[in-house]
Amino acid sequence: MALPGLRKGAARPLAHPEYAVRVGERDEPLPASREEADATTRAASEARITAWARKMADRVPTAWLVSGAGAVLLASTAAFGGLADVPVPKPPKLHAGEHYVGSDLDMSVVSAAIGGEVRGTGLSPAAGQRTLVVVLDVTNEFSKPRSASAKDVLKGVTVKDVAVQGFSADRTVDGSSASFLQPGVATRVRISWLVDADDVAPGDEIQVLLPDSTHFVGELFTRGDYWADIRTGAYVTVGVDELPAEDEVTS
Amino acid sequence: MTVPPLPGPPAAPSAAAPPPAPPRSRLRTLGVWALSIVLVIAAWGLVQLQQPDDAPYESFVSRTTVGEPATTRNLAMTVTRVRAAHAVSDGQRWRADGTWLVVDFDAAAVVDQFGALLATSNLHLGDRTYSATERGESARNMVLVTGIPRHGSIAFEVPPGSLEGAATLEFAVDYDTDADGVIEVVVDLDQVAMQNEVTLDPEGWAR
Repeated sequence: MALPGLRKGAARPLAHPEYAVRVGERDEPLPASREEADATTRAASEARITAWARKMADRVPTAWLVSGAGAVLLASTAAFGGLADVPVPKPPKLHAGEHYVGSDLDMSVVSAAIGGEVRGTGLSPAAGQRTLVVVLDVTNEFSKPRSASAKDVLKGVTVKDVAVQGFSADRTVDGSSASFLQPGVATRVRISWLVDADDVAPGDEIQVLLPDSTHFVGELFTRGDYWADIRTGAYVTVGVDELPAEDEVTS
Repeated sequence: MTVPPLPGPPAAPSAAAPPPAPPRSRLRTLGVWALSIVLVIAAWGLVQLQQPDDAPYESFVSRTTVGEPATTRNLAMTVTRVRAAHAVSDGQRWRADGTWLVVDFDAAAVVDQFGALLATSNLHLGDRTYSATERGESARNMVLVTGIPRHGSIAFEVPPGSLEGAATLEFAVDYDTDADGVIEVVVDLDQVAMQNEVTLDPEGWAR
């Protein structure tokens, strides 16, 4: 590709700028020159501000600040017990009649008993099984009805070291199935399970585990109220009685 | 360190020169700022106009009072009577003490009786919500027939002493009332006399 040669007339325009101004244009005012002057002044002042800011920034002891922040972080961590696990509060050990509030429920174990086939539970023990019954007072402390058979409500009530089978929760007052616990309404409920006859005997003491959980409100993809992170809230020690014969199915 | 002042306004132009162009850069700055502020205010206005996130799920509420009929998508009903008592019975085997609000009503389906049940029957009292009791024989989950009202009673068990002030009954033909019709009946509980015992009306055709 050939280099484009300088065309005649276009040669060295910068060497003789006076030739670039056509005759007659000299009389025009030169506002550009004053704007240029303003711009120069402004640029100079801006440069001075920048230099000043940079100098001030250089005076900040960055290294010291970083080390100091690190030291403060370490010191506060150490003050709160270092990197050791936060001690988990132990579930309280209660006795029958003492109230425990957890999982938005107020619960109080009344008694426990064991019998054969118990009227109204709908549970039929097989050979070698008996029906374990725990009576407890429960009040729903939440503002809406709670399903009694939910894992965070009465189904969350279990017995320590006893394998239970089946589940039935009935109101003692009329034998109706406790499907829903209405808010603020104190209800005496009988929970029944099938257990191995060898596991529990009249006169034993059992530990009833009452549930605790955390209430969540659904966001984004879930809606409504739910209780998760279900854990043991309290151990309630209660003696096991022999169930009165009139409560048992005799036929 | 002192910062030199910005250059002042331009000196008066010489008589020979025409007046200089207005300080366009300042106008421009002012315009940009004004536009930005207007946009921020407009954004705030939009946020004010915007419906909450749950707005698409909101129910279509028909509000009425005791004795007045109301109709929604697939439910037409009239609460005929509201009673309060210390005990309630279903006229058969069930009787329970407590604090009870008993609601008698006529209800029918409107367009479709397939699967039409009075599935939602709630009482909103204060900041609490109660559902109709599952105890005894009541018209909870009553089967609805299109165009032919059936009559029945439901009962709400509430804590003692809480039956006062304004309450709202909520009825719907589905458990899920999202984006569906709901009938709300406003009840002044101070006007409802406390009785010793009331009996639920047996379920049947409305008269």
